[in-house]
Amino acid sequence: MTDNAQEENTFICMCEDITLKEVMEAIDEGFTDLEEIKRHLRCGMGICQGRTCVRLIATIIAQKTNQPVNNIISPRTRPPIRPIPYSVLAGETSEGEG
Amino acid sequence: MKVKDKADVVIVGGGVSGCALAYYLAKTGVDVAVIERKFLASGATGCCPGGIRQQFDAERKELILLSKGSVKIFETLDDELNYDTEFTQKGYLFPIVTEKDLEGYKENLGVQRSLGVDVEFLDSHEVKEHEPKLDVDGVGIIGAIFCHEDGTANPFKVTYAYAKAAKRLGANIYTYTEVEAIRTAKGEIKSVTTSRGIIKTNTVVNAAGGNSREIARMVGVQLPNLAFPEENIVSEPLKPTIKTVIKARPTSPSSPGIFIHQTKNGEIIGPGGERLGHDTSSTLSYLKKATRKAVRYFPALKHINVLRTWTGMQDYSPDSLPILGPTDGVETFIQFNGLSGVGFMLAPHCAKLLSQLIVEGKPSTLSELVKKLNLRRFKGGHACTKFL
Repeated sequence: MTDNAQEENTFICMCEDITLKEVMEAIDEGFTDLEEIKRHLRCGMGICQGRTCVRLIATIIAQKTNQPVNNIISPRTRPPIRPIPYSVLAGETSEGEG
Repeated sequence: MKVKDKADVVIVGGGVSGCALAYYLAKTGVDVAVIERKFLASGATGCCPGGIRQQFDAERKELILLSKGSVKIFETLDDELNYDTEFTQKGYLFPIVTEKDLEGYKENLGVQRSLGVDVEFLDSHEVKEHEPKLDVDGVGIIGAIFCHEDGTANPFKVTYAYAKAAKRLGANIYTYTEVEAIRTAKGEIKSVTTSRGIIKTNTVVNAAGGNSREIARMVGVQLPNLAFPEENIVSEPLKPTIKTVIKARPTSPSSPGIFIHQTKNGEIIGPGGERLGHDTSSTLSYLKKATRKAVRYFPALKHINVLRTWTGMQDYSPDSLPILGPTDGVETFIQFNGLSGVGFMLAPHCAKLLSQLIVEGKPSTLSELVKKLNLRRFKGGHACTKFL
């Protein structure tokens, strides 16, 4: 496989189906931090809230912009940490729970 | 990276307003620089849930006219900017629960129609047809006002679309760059000092949203704006469930009002919640209130998950109308702030009007609308009454 095909076939964000190629292109376009890439590509906005992709993208940004990965700031954590049903937060029990 | 040492116009703020204005200015050949403290759409634009409506109260005709112009622009924006901004015209539906409200809404409807907005009245049966999952009987909805031209777009994408097009036309957009000072002499702007160097310019636009007051203070101008946080909520994606944008005014403690819609991606956004202060952390009390409201209007949402909440600062003017145009005493210090929670939908039209003002340079050629929205309407002191 060529590099390009490999980039096209490598998924970085499983929730939103974002490939390595799309992440590379976003960085080339000037979206060079995790907050921006999240808003541009939706990586980290899916059901896992970035648990899978954020570290991967941080590494890609670091490599592409020639800086240590520790320099790449994590996106702000948005509660709730795990998905919670509306019924739980709204104080209603779901059907069958009495 | 250093900033360029001069520009015709420096826009402070890389939200949708600043980027839209940069585009319209660059399009007419103006050399424009945008200075953004963080990243594009990192302020009020980024916390906006994306609604675009022309339905405003009869006493705020300015907003109807401004948003009407914006809808016209949005209708062809994707083609103009060559970008998918996820614009929809799925319609805004305002449910009505009391007879008293019905009268008020009918008055608004008359004014909106007289200004050329295609709004219609729906009875409760028609509301059910438009929005099958809405609990019309449970909430006690007796009718609704609906406008099929209203809808939504993605605020990030609209901002990026404008920014990208502006850059293609030669605009310079500097992110992670702070404005430290604005130099003036004898009522004229001379330069802007940023964290990446000085830009000589004679026109500065204050499109800094929640930071507009601080920017104005650098020129010795006092703005009456009040910035406060609004929280918002988004669900996991689900199949099409909410067809329109539902917006209801709070009418009583038992009818708290709502704003809710479903994005192209399938996520449910809203209802938002406002509070006083400067803290932009998310709160449990908001989460409880928002989910309770959502479930009341759409009981089916009980079974889905909340994915995320976020908070952003909104910039309100005392009368909740935008502050646009030149500043008395420093004519080329242009205000583009106080968008009062509806900045996203107003941005395209306001930006277009202000670009005409800046390019033509003659306040006399200004439309009546922009004249009315000048900062001088607050001379003599007005407080923001939003929370009184």
